[in-house]
This record gives sequence, structure tokens and C-alpha cells, in this order.
Amino acid sequence: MLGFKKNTTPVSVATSAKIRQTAVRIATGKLNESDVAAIERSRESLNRFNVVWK
Amino acid sequence: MTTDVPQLTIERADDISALSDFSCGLKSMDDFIHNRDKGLQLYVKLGITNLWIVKESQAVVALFALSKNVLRLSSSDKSVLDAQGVSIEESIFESKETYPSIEIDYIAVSKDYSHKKIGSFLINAIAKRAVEDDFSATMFITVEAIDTKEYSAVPFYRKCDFKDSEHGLIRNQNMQIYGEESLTRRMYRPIYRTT
Repeated sequence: MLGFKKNTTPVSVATSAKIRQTAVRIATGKLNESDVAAIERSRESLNRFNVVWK
Repeated sequence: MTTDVPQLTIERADDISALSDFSCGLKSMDDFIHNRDKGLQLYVKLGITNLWIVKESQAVVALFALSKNVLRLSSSDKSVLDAQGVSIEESIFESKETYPSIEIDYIAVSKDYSHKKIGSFLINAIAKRAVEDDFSATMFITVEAIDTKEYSAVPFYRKCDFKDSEHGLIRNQNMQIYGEESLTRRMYRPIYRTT
């Protein structure tokens, strides 16, 4: 966030593993229940407004 | 496109002039947005971030600013994938230490439009746009979420399916080392190609 003091720490080992596993699931299409639920939430959200990018 | 829902226009802006009456209701953020010399305008002018202004009709509903970033991962977790018997895809990701992302540098919704779930809509619209943009691959959205005593955006981002990208223990250790309170929390969210 611009304008706020950052105290960024390196991505941890545990989180790195989760991120890699997420990337593999998305790349291979082998999504888990959490992924499918997130996609559904996203679709519902996108239906609230029409958007025009300029 | 359906016609029975409100329409928002999202437009690139090089200047904050359209935001003169904008208020998100949080003083520190409003001050930053309106400060031409040291605030949002400076970062836009320097090319550090791209500003987008969201309007409904002529009313400014929200703003956000984006840049490119990368998730740089620890390489010490490879045994996690090794232990699973790796496929070709897994072996590629095992050796990959950087993952391209879009960084949300700033996002604010007008206090007049709060509680309409515009913020979460914009997060999803950004993800959808990233999928549709074939200029370069993007796998994640990242953000430094404000996390102060005055206000924390972390619950909002969690509702938008962001995850904390730092382990609590490591964060606490770093806070002990540096002797200061963290004001932001690093978070990430995958971009699904089917979004």
C-alpha cells in the first residue's frame, strides 16, 4: 500500500509450498474445493455490476 | 453483458484532479490521495503505479492503482513437492522461485458507496482483466494490506480470498529483530484462468 510504512518479510517456507501447490493446481486444472468455491464467489461478485474499461 | 445491474466505468488517469471531492472516510488515506506533492499524485507521476478511477455515471465511486510485481518464494520447501512424487508440471514449479503478479498499490472506495461490495467487485474485475490480458502472464494478485490500530484491511482481503503470505511466527521474529510494529501485511491471491 503506497504511503504506508512496510515491514515486508520474506515469503516463508510453509507459505512458499502452499503457493507452489496452488500454482500446480491451477496449471493442471486439478482444482480443490476451496479453489472452486473461490471461483464461484468471484463469478457472483462480477455479476453485481457491468464494467467498461477505458 | 446484462442491463439490469449498475454500470461502472473504469478509466486510466494521469492526474488526481477528478478525486478532489473523493473521500473514503479514512483520514490517513484521504490525506495521501489528495497530497499532490508527497501522495498518490507523486507515485503516478514517477510511473511507479498506474491510477484507475471508477465512476458510476459521473460520480467517482472508487480508485485503485496497480503495478507489476513478483512473488519470490523460498527455495527451502522443495522437499514438500519431492515427497509427493513429482509430475512434469510440479517439477517446473518446484524449480521456479518467482511468480508474476499484479500488485494492488492502492484501492479505496468512496464512503458514499460503502457497503455495496464495490471493493470486492473491483478485486475480481482486476483478476478477470489480468486473465484476459495476453501481454504477459500473471498468476497472482498481491497487496500490502494496511494493518494498523486505526484500521485493518486484512479482513476485507481475506473475504476476497487473499491469503497471508508470511507465516505468523516469522513475522513476529522479524518484528522482534527490527523493533517496530508492522503497518502492512503482505497477502496474495491466485488468479484462476476460469475467472
